[in-house]
Amino acid sequence: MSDFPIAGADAPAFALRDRNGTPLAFGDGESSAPATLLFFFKHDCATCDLTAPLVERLHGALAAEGLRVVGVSQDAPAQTTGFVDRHELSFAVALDTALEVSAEYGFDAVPALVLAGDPRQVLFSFEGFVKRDLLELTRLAAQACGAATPEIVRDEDQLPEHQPGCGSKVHDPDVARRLAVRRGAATLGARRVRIPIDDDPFEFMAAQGLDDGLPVVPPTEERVLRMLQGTMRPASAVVAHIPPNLAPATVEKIAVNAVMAGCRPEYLPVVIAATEAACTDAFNLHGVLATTYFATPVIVVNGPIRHEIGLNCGGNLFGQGFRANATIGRALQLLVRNVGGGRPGGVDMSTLGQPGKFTCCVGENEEESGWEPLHVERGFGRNTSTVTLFAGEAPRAIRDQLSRTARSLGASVGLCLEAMAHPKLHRMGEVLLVVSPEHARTFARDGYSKTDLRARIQEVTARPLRELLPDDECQKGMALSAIPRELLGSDGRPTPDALDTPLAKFKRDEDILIIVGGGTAGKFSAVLGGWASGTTGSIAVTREIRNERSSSA
Amino acid sequence: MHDLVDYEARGIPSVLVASSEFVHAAQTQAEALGMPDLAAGSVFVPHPIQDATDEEMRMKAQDAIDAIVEALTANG
Amino acid sequence: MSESLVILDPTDERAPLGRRPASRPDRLHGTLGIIDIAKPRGDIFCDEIERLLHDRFPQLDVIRLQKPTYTKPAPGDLRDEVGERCQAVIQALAD
Repeated sequence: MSDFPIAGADAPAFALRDRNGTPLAFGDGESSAPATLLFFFKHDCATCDLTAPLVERLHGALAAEGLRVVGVSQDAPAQTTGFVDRHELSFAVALDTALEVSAEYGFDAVPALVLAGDPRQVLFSFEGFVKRDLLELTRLAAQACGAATPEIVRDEDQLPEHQPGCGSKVHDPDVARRLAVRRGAATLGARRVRIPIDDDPFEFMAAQGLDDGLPVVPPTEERVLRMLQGTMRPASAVVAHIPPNLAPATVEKIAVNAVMAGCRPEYLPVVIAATEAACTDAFNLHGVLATTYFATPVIVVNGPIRHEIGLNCGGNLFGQGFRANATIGRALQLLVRNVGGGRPGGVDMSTLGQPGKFTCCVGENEEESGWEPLHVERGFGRNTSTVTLFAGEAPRAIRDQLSRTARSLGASVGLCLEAMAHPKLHRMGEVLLVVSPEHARTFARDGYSKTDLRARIQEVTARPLRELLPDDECQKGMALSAIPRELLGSDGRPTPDALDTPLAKFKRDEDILIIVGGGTAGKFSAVLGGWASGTTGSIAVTREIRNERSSSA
Repeated sequence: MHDLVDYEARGIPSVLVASSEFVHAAQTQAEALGMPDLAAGSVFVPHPIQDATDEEMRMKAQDAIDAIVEALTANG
Repeated sequence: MSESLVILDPTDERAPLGRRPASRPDRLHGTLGIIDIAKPRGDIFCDEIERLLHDRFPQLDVIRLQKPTYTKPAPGDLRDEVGERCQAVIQALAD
């Protein structure tokens, strides 16, 4: 669709330069010409060659009557000179090498002729060569100058009635892309940082502390604009306030950090949803970040988007080699660092950290599960895509290649989970259990539900309170505050009867989050321990990934 | 300007003294090198240099010394 | 000349990004290097600057360094010498 201005519209003003570098402007109020003819051309266009002598004739006939003719060349100076010399043009020619004026005029083909009256109202315009239009333009130009219509077209010219123009250079693919960047960049609000010419961009960004220890992709305007194609949300929209500084994370800042992390545009909605989820009160990202413990945001993705973006749900689930997994988790970490201001040695006080603090994002292997996937359990439709954020430790192994029944395998899982954090610590909060496809099949074969598995874990981990208290053998044990009140006497100590009361590893069955994930071979599952649960700790949060991708993406 | 950026990066306050013809070039280069403030701190002495007499050169130095000291210290 | 790369600031923009000049002391101290970039007549200018500095700051140690050519950035060993010896640098006289 062309935006070429037709009669009655305003012809955009411009300020270009001629081949000598002398300013050549249109519509700046300096010229008192009753009419101006703009002639857009490029040097290697036969239709421009056909038209140029006629424009020159028009100039010869009406310049004295006040008509101002301005050629606008889409080419570099040398090529422009070739064209001007070939046609012995005597009117002024402006260079639009950057094609910004051509783009603003919006014609699709050259030559493009625009006759504008005083001051800038378009009297007539056309693209390509159309004899009838040229005659009409001549008549209107003469009329505007109060002169008689000159004879521009002669019989010996043997002009065709019509000859299509050539494509405006604005539509050359790389030009169109460059112009789009220049236009789009104006909509981006982030501060521009110029990397010194003698600096390697990667070294510069590392020196500025913008990375996570691995190189980051420089977030140029072009890359950020491309990233923003991944969402229909406006760049300036504030998605969340990121701890610890509670700085606003706009869609644009998220896109900038997603570029740095190496994301593709189609991952952006996942990063946005993960940011939203991480910045809720329930998830308590500030606490997750500030703790000396191992916790970091673990992103679990459910629903159709897993396949749309190639997010790994299968083999090497927590491992390397999958761009979506690697970069989505990394983008969230970079946002915490760059926008939120949370850095190791600063607010991030983790004693040992863990590899997941670079990135941790996995998809549930819904296809290998006989159970409802995590997001359906948590109230979302199966065809809805979601992120669930869990503040977790690194995954650790649950190994059982021998169990042939669900009951036995459930016991193995429970016994392995008992060691989480410390075997004597019971009544704990959330934990994320990742059941491998082979283990999932063992459970499915016996019709074991997630509820059954949770109950089995609780059953095999239940220990009498006396075994869980600090003693001489091991001074670590359950804190009195973690023991149910009804087991405590008036002195605040456990009553003698209470010491035989069995307490399970987890305070509530539903705090055992279960997904299926990983490759189809291997009778191993994994557990990711949690951090402090409840209102002072972190509670897993699920958010819908809105289907917001721009159709033009 | 390259050298000065290097010295500044090493924590050494530096000042470029140049002829007044260099105002624009110094600005452009300092920006390209990522230290635009460095151009603001440069000291420019009146052109011309090459055909100036010894006495004229010493005069230029006397006129510039305050600005040079100011560019290297916090309070001038 | 290749264009320098422009990136979008990924931070909350509270702190400036980019190279920062060195912090300035309240007064000149230690060793100050006058680097003559070896353009004609620059030496007379540098001599006078040195004399003025001696007059004004008698305790300041002023040393002279010579850049081999003004057409190229200083070689690494000159830069290292400056780094090791100088607390302040005057580079003159670009023309």
